[in-house]
Amino acid sequence: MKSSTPKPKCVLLDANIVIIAHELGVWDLLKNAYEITLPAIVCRREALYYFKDGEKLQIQLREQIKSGEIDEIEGTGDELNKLVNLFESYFLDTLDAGELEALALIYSRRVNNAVFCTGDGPAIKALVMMGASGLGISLETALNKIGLTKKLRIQYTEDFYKKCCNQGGLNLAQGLGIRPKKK
Amino acid sequence: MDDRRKLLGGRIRDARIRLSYTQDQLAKESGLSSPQIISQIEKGERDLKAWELFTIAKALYLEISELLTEEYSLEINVLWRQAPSSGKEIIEAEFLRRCQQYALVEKLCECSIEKILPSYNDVNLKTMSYDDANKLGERLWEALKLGDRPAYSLRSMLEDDYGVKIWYKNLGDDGSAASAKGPFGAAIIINSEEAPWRRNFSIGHELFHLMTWTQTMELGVLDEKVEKLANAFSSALLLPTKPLKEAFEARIKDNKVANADFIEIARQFDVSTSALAYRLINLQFVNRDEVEKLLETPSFKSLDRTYRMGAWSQPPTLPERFVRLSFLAYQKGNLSRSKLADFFNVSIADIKEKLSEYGLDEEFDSQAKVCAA
Repeated sequence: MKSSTPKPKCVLLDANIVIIAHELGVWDLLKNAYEITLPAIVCRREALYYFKDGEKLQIQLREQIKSGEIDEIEGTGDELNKLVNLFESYFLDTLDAGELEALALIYSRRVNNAVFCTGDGPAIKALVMMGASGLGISLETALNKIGLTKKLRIQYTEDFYKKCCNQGGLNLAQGLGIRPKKK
Repeated sequence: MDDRRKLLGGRIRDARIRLSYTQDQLAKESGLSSPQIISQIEKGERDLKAWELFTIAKALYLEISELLTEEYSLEINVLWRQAPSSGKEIIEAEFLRRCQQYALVEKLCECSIEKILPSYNDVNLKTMSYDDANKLGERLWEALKLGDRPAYSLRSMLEDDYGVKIWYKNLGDDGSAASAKGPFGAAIIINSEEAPWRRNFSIGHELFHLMTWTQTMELGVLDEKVEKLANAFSSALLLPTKPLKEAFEARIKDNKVANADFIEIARQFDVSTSALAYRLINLQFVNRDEVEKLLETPSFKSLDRTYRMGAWSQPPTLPERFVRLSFLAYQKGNLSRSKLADFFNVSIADIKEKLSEYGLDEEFDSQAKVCAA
């Protein structure tokens, strides 16, 4: 059930973050601390199971959505289309479906105060390249904010996140991966 | 009606037809509840949700960018030596998508290969003789410096030096091989179920088509003669006269070569015994009637099978260079982890195990740097 006290921030997660949070055993803590919203494609196709001590375990997102512990949000074709028109095809092809849906939702600003938690280089760069650099967060920072410290793979650290932000800034400055605006 | 919706619907319809899917099949493949939804989408009568677009694109072997942007094209020809009797369209679509993925990781790692295959645009396939094709094969063998046993180095040279994308897939009992040229460069697909020595020959055969691509496209069809020219080319490329003559003469005793020696020479060159036999016939090193009779002898066939059974190996599911570059692109933060999983045909949760199968470890920080001296 949703807690009665308002949670600090709405956080959109990509599938890797959902899976790693389960592997690390911090999923419930994240859920309690943040208002978690998942793109539909992450719920339906991507974050389906994880491994713990060699055992394959199901991720029961559907039940948690039904009980209101987390939310699912569906991006529209129009929102996706607007995002796709920002980037060159080769750059889009480096991004996964769940990330594209999350980025489209961030870009449309349909979800108030939402930030996107991801450990994927292209997604972090995309945030910067679409002028939404303040709307992303690394897993390390998301955990630190709720008093958790975990040994994380490099991709989930704040250091990696910053490096990718810098690269995204360079891409933006040089027009790399960005579709030229139609005159 | 919204033009954009109509355009998207038209693209989905074209891509579905390319795969010979009915609307019902596409609905099933994309997990949508009914063919009516596909019909409405194709007519531009229905707005799509993002997740629906993704599942449809995946079922059609397309990237989302191909469905939503102007860089959409299904106009790439795939030339089949012998197409499988069923599922050809799906195999082609998957093959082309794989080639695009390969080209993407080359770009992301700044490892695109500029060196292009020599092309024989001056030849005329209509008037070309088998002897001409043999000479082209020998000429290429010399130019590529493939050594005395070309089959052992041909594939890696084509991939590493010329960026030819070589994939293996189960093409059933009747499928053999195919080639394609596109924005991704040159590519070949080979039946993974064939014997390794037959696969080598197929690479040589497809290489001929790639090098005479313009003329073949002008002809419009791969007729029997062109296929035989490709065989003659492959035969000379993998069994060049000089090293073959040396290997053959070393085995002559009292002006005869033992039957088992035929098999041994074929093994040395990693070609099939029949490919070797016909090359020797064409070079007039042996008597045609005698050798053709030998090839049909049950005891010889049985000896050939038994002798070479130990050398049978399955080809890699994914090209080694593709695996390396995909991982590198991911490690550099240029390819998402989920996309990496997609490239490796596994789900996100399984990627760690898949990487370890290739001896790759994502815990290793490849971004750490060393100072150049």
